[in-house]
Amino acid sequence: MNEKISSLFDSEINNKEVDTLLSKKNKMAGVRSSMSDYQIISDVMKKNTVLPKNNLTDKIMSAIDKEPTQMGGLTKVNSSNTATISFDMWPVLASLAVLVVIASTAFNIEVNSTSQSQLLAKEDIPQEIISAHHAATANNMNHFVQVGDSAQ
Amino acid sequence: MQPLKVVSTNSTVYNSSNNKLDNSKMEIKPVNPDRALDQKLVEKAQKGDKQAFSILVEKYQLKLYRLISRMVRDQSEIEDIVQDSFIKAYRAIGNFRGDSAFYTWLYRIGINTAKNHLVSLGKRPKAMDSNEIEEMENYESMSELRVSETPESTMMSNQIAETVNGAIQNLPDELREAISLREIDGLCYEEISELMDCPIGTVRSRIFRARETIAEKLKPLIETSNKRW
Repeated sequence: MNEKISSLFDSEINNKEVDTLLSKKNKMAGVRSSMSDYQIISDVMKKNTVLPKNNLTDKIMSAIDKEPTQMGGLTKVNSSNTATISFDMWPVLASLAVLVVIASTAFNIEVNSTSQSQLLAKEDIPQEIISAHHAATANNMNHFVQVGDSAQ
Repeated sequence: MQPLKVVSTNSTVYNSSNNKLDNSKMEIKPVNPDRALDQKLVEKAQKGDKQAFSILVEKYQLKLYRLISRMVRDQSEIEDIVQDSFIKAYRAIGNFRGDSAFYTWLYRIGINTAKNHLVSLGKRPKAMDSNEIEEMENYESMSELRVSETPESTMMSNQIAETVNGAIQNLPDELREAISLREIDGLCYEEISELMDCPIGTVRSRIFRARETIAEKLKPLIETSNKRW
């Protein structure tokens, strides 16, 4: 792990190792602390002005944690700022969905029953023919039961 | 691109006597692993990985601090400007396409933030000539920290430098040589492996062990400095 941090500090780390390091989110404070130590050593060796270890990165990251997460150019708002649906709400929402489906089905039947083609048909065909048609049509369960019984 | 030449430095202080740099045999490839790594971290940050951005913050906060210290002297103001610059960079990271190096982009944000800060205080930002701008873009040259030093901070810096130098002198030759070639001569691992005639994995391990040994000696001092500063 620490050898990878040293390589990261030198930018001598491959993509897979970067992924491995970043996946250990609970160890990132340690990663940053080691990098800070390495920076001091580097500054002394290069005879740069040495700036003692500071907690500026922690302050910056604390501020950035409050920022919305960036998602490839889009911004994902922090969950604390949005209305969320808890698992307790799912049964209520499911019931509501079922009611909507039933209501929309009923509405469709109603619409179909008074469709334009049916109205035109009623106007054009004489009433006695329609009555005779209804009388001859199998429209109740008894008809089918009788047919089934006679077949046996 | 022209091949780079090894710049002569005072690295021989730390090199083992029997294996000094022979510049005539060396030809450094103009690779920029820094930029490749930064681009990788930026892409991860763009996909929502804040930890990736935290590595960029750790990597560049001191360099940005040094840059801003050329325009603003007060330490707390510099810290505020550095923090604001990183927040602005994070907000705009989705628009970063990698046309320039991440640091160059960040430095421009830092300079603008510092200028706006000075204007808000009724101060006139110092006009910079093109040479100065170019020097600032090259962060490797940003070694100087222009903040007002106190006797205590100077003493602490000297103690840290003495401890690090003492620890380096006591390192085994192969560790001292590896870390010197890296830090002072700025060689990449592949070049160091050629010079030291050992596998890259060994170079990596030696540099790491050298750093850990020095950091161990530095730890008590850093803990003290954290309490004082």
